[in-house]
Amino acid sequence: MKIVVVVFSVAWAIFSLITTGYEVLQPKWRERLRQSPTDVQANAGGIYNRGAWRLPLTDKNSPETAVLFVDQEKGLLHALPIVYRLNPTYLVPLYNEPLTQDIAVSDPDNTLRKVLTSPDASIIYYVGTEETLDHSADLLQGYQQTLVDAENDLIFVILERKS
Amino acid sequence: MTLEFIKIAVFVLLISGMSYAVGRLLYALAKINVSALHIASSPILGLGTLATQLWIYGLLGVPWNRWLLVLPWVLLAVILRHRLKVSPHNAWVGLGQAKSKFNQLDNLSKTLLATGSVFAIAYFASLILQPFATSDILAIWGFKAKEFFINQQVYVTPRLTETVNLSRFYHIDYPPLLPLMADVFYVMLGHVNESLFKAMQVIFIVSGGASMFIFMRAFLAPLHKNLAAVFTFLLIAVPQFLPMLFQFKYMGYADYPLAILFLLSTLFLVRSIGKPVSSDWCLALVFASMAAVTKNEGLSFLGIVLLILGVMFVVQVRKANPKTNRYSIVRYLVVAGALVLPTIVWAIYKQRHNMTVDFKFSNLAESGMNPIERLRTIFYYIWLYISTNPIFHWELAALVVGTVAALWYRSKIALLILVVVGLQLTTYVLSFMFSPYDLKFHILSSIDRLLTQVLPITILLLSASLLTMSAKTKSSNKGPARPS
Repeated sequence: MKIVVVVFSVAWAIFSLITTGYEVLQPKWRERLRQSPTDVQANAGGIYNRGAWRLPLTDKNSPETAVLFVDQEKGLLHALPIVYRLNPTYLVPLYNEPLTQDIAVSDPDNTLRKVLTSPDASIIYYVGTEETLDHSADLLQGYQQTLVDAENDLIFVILERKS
Repeated sequence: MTLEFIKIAVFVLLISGMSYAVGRLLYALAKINVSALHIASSPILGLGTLATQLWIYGLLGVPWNRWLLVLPWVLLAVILRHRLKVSPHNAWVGLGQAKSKFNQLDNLSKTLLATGSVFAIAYFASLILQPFATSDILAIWGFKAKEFFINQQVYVTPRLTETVNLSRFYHIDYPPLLPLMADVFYVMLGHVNESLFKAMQVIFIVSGGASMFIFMRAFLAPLHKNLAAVFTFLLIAVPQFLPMLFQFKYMGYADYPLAILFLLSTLFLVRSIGKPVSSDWCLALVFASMAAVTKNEGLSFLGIVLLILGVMFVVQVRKANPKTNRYSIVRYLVVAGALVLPTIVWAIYKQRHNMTVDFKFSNLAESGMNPIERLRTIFYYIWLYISTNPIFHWELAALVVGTVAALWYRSKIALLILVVVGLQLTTYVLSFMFSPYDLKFHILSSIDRLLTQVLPITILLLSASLLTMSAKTKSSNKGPARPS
C-alpha cells in the first residue's frame, strides 16, 4: 500500500509540475508585467482609473450571455443592474421594452444587442464567445474594442463607445 | 516590472507582516507554546482577526481607519512585550535555525520547494496583474468589500435584498469574512484598490504551503522526509488552483482561502487526537469558524469539526477524574461558544435582513424526482464532469487511494481525515439533493470549485497512510508522535 501511495503521489506531482509549469512559462501573462496594474485594470475598466463604478450584469447560466455593463453616469450606490435575470421593473426606464429572464438565458445575441443599443452603455465588458460578438458586428462599429484576455472558447473584450 | 507593481507587492507583504504580528500576539495572549506550525498559520489567523475587528467596529459604530485598526495591537504588544521575546538577536537566531534546517534537506526536497516557490511567485504576480473581471468577484466578493468599505460596516444596500432575483445574483447571504479581509487592506491604504483584493490571497498560498510542509516534515520524519516536500509541492502546484490563482476564471473567489482554512483546521484537528482540551482543538475550531464565515460550505465543515471535537471531548471526560469534569465541560462549552460566535452573529444578521436559504427539503419533492433517482442524476453529472476533465482524474484517484489506505491501516489519523473529507463531500451531495436550481446547471457550474475546496485535505488524506507508519515508528522509538 505504501508503494502505491508513494508512486501515485510522485506521478501526480510530476503531472502537476508539467501542467502548471507549462502555464507559468507561457509568455502571455509575463507580457503583462511590463504594464502597470493600473493600466491593466484600466483596460479592464478599473473604476478608479476611469471614474466609473462598474456594475456587473451577467447571466451565470450561460457564459455566452455574460455581459458586464458600466454606467459612467451613475455611481455604484445609485446604479441598478439592467440585464441580469432581469427584473423588468429596472429595465423599463432604461429600455423601451422589458427584457425578460428568458431572453437573457436563451438568446445571448439579443441580450448583447439590447445592451449595445442602450443609451447608457458607454463601456461594456463582454465575456463570452466570439461568435456572439460577431452577430452584433453592425452595432459594434460604434464601439472601440480592446481584447483583454482569451481562454479556451471565451474572450474578454472591452467595448467602449466611440465619442 | 513597473514601480506600481512593486508598490502593490510591497504593500501586500507589509500587511501580511502585520497579519503575522497580530497572529503572534494572539498566541502570546492565549499563552500558547508556539511551534513552527503556529508560526506558519499566524498570518491567516491575524488577517482573519483584523477582519473580525472591522466587523465589530461596524457593529459598534467605530469608524474604520488605519489608526483605530492598529492601535489595540500596538497596546497589546506593549503589554505583552515580555511574553513575546522579540529582539533582533532572537530573530537572527530564528533565521539561522531556519537556514540550518533548510540546508539539512535533501536535494529533491530543495528542488521541489524551489520550484514550488517559483510557482507561488508567479501566482502572486498574476494575482496582482490579472484584471478584476469575472462575475462572482465583481458581483459578490469584490462588490461586498466595496459596499462594506463605503458603509463602514457589514451592510449591503437594501435594494439588493428587496428583489429575489437580485439578491440571488449578488448572493447577499454569502458570509462576509473574505470581503472584510480585503477591507483590512483598503482601510490601511485609505481607499479601494481591487488589485489588493486578489493579491491578498498570497497569504493563503504561503501560509498554507508552509503549514503543510512543517506538519508533514515533522510527522513523516524520519522515514519519508523528502515526501514532505512532494506533498507540499502538490499543494502548491496542482493545476486545479490555476483558475483561482493564475488565470482570471475564478481569480479572487473565496474557494482557495476556504480550501486552506479547511487544511489548517484539519492539521490542528489531527494534532488534537488524544488531547481534545488543548490549544490545538481551539485552533482547529478557530480555523473552522473562519471557514464558516468565509463561504457557506464552511458551515458544514464547522459542524463536522464540532462533532469530531465533541466526540473526542466526551471520550476524554469519561476517562477523566469526575471532579474535574464539571469545570472542563463548562470551559469547553464557553470556549467553543465564543469561537463559533461569528457564525451565530452572521446567522442573526441574515435572519434580520430576511436572507432566505435556497436549499430546502421541499425542493426535493418539488423536483418531481424520488431520492434515488435524484441521487443517480447527481452522481451522473458529477461523473460527467470528472470524466471529461483530466486534472480531476487525479483528485478522484487520490480520494480512492487515500480511502483504501486509510481503511487498510485503520489508524486514528487516517480515519479522522477520511471522516472529515467524506462528511464534507457528503454535504455537497446533500446540497445538490435539496437544490432549487436545475441540477445540470448547478452541478456543472460548481463541482470543480467544490472538489478544489477539499483538494488540500484530500492530499493530506493521501499522505495519511505514510503519516501512520511514521507515527508508529516514532512512537515505538521515541514515545508518542507529535508534530511540531
